[in-house]
Amino acid sequence: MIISGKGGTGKTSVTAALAFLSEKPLVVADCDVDAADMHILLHPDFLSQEDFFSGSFASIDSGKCIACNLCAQVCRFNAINIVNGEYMVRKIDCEGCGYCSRVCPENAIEMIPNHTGLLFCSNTRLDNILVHAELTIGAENSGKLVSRVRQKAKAVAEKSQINNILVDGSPGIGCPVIASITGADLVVVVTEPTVSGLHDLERVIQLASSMGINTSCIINKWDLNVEKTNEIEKFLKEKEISLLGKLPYHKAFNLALNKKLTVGEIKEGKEISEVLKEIWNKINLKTK
Amino acid sequence: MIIVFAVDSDKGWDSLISSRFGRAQGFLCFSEENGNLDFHSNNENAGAGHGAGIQTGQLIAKLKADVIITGGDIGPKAFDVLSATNVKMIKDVGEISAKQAYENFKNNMYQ
Amino acid sequence: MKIAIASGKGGTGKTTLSVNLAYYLSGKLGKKVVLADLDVEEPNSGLFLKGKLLKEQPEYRPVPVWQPDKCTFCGKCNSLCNFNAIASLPKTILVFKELCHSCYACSELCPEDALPMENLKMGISRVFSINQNFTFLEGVLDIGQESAVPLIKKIKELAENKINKDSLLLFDSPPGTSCPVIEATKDADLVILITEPTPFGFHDLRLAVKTMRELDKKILVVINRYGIGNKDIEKYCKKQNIEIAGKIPYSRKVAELYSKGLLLESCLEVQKELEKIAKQIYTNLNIY
Repeated sequence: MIISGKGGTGKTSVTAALAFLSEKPLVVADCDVDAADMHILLHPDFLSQEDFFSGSFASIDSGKCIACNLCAQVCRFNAINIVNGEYMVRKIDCEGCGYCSRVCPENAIEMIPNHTGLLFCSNTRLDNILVHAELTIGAENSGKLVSRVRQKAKAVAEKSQINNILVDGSPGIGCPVIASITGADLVVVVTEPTVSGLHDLERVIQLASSMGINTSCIINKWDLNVEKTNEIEKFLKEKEISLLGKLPYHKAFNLALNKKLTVGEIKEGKEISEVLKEIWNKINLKTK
Repeated sequence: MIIVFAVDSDKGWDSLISSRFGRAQGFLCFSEENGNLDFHSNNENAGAGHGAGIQTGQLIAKLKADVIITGGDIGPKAFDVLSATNVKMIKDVGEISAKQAYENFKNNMYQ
Repeated sequence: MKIAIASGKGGTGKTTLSVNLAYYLSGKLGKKVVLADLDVEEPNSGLFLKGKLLKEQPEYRPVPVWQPDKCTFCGKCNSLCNFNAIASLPKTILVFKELCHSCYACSELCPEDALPMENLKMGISRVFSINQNFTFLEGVLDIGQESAVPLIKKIKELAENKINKDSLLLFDSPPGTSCPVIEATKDADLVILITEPTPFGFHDLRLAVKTMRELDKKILVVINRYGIGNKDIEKYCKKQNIEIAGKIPYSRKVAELYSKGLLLESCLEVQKELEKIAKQIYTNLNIY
């Protein structure tokens, strides 16, 4: 089960709050590796960690280089330039295709694996297991790490005989999202009644249905723009997508966040918690 | 006929069928003609960042498989590769032994 | 001069700042401004800008297309591709275009010329005139395209062709710290990081600062929803010697205008902050 949606809609706060409400044991996977924030609310213990490599980048041995310029010529990414008279690869431009290393007549170019991140598996203060990752600064493609997080979560769940995996998905519609929602039983889109919220919702729903995955929706901050909320509800009806619930614009989310707690754990969040409980029950019915 | 089973470790006929395809650790390849059951590691493909299913599909083609049996689903890209080689795909058989899967297959339980 | 507006996580107000700042610079200050929305997975800037559509066109990237009559099934293409995008089978070659990075290696190193490159549509670009000083560009990635980077490159190119030495080019960058962000920020003269005063915002800001420092970028910080949280960000910026260019106050009115897709022209307190931000930009880029 995946929670998806654009950044800032309250996706992580809602996911964490649901994790708190769950009576059954859960594996929580933070697939929003670009902005992995779940650990701030769940206080994991970073029990185990693995390095993650993905792709590679070219590196030129200046001792072997005869400056024939062939590498720079074939590189479609303009990653090879002459710096102080030496052929150099600008790492952030290198796609790792290896074309240069294949055409170099002196075998002076080596492809070096990219260290792209760390993968953690933790126990949290809510007695859940959290699988999360940290992307190396400026790392290449987070889609690969996302798949790893998802797979790790699945493996851990199988090992501990836990049936439910709750995933905080990646925003967008590109590679990371596709990687995070692949194989899901249900995608829950958290949206907000704003022009961008509706716009994003349409795109995510299109993507999920093209992958044959069931979708439901939660409207967060619904009272911020009632007109827009009505528009979203109408849209959901047209697309036959069920609305799991509407959450009001409420200070409790911020209060909880500043205390680094989930919304169900503070007294101001009681009202919101009731709505979330209903949502959680509906989700459980849908994923049975 | 050559029947290939997706597995995560090699325990001969007692190996459990893997729920993965592209990232299965290896494949058991059974030839009905000569009765051999060989294990082929899929380590390299299983660890690929992208396109694991494609490379694994290619491995199945190299084994000249007529049938591939896996415990879970087969991804869309792997499906394209396998379709192009006319191998019969049997998926979602669950976590049973290769022996059981073969018997089920022979008894026409997988249609 | 190129300015990238970026944030660690989504939803912190990147788009709000981009459109309102561009509007302010072009209107109040009469500067020639080109704004490019590089968040091609979720392009939202355009929802806030009403202007005349000047041009809309499909954008392409090259991918190899197999020519069966020329192929000898030597399998070289498969071993050349570092992205596993080619399957070499006994009777056919399959190209998985969505995995292709357009490096040309398979195409140019095929001994039989059996894989010529052909254009594949990846999305569209649009150019708008908002007013006589303000040009706006956006890219929309087709659903199912795995990588946003090629389209980001294209939109950047289009935008760069529209500026002269006196104009300002603003990039509304995708969220995160991974490759699309790097692509959007790597040749900017100045990066404005927008964040919000919550533990999430703070955590993501630190990652974003680290990323931009690694790229050797000049940084300014803008705090959005100022007043909802604590002073952690201000303390951090002081310690790191980063200028806080502006603090956009938290108000329900701002949230409501945003939800309706309106600019914040009528919010005096926001306009005052934009003035400060503009001043800081001018100082940092030595304009005047």
